[in-house]
Amino acid sequence: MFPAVWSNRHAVALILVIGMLLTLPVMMHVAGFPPRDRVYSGIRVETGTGPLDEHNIFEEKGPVDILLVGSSLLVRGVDTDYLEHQLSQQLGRPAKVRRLALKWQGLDMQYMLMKDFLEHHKTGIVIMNMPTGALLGDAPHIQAYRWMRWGEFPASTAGLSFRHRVGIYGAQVLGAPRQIVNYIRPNRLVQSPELVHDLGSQSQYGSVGYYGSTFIPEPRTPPVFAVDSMISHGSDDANFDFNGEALGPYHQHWAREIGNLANQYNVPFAMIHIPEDTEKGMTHVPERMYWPSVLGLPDAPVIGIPSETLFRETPATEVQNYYYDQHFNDNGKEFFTRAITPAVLDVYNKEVRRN
Amino acid sequence: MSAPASKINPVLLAVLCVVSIAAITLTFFITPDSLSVNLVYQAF
Repeated sequence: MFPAVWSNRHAVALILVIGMLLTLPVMMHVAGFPPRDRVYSGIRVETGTGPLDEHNIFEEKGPVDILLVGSSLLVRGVDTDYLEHQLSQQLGRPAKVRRLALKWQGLDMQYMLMKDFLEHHKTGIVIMNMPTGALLGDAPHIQAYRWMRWGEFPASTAGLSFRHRVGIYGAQVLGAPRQIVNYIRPNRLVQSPELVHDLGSQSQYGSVGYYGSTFIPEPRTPPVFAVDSMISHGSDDANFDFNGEALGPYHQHWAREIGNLANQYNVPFAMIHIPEDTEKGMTHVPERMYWPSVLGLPDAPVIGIPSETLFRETPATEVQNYYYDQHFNDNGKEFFTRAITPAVLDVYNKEVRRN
Repeated sequence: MSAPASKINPVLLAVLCVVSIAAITLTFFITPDSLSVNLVYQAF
């Protein structure tokens, strides 16, 4: 049997290869990263709305009235075109509503998208969907190896524990070999605006039934709800339950950083809850924590409708027709957007005016 | 046929062990789903 290492030269070669892979994130930082405006297009289109994020952040110019930031729940939960139309009518001018999101939840991801956007655009208000129970664990986002580059935003990671910093570095080691290809050939942008829009809205799920069952079109006009009942009023609001499973220290750190970012850019901030299928019958909006306190933004409102209230006129057996899994299909997306829009516009009005 | 005798410099061997252990240790800190996403979507 031959030994695993058969010569000094072989040992040196192995040390160099492993050592280089381990230190590649640092070496890239020293050498200078490729432009950040292509980090999101490194994400394969099957795994998220990266091309639309990149378009919204880096390619499109000008101020934005409402920026929505979140996960796939938000992508499948809010029809931004409808919201933009309603806001335009309210303002009496063409309004601009944009959304940034990636698949899977994580406040590190939402921080990074928000930071990239605020660096490039004046923004009227940021509205974010916060993690639900579907966020498991307390580690970097699944796609962090795409957009977290070593040393890029040092202040934002300064408060993290050693274990979490190593976790981030591990993600950066994982992503560095792919990132280095950008020196030779930058990631290609998706050229078709239609494709960018389709990918960004995950439209392939629009007409899918609950867990693969037949899609059944449902009424998309919801009941009218009092605007005030859809906005939280403190931690003991009867329509909201802020006592869910607390986030771990990693995500709480990023929640604080998101609050700091809102303060730094002096941009109003609010949150929106997108109901999941498992919330059927609930008479309150389930939130994992009282977010205004966690973020350090005590006046930031949370917008939401309890599932039982939202579907109060929908037969219980038909509620699942509004979902394709935990996410809304187009039935749910249009139904929920039409229900929640008056509250979003009200919050926009108050927060922007106050600012 | 007998295996060739190893004549590796012990210092090099020690360094190799250290970087290998560092690499293996690092994998325990990586979000497990990041690895599976890489495989599922052939992202790299």
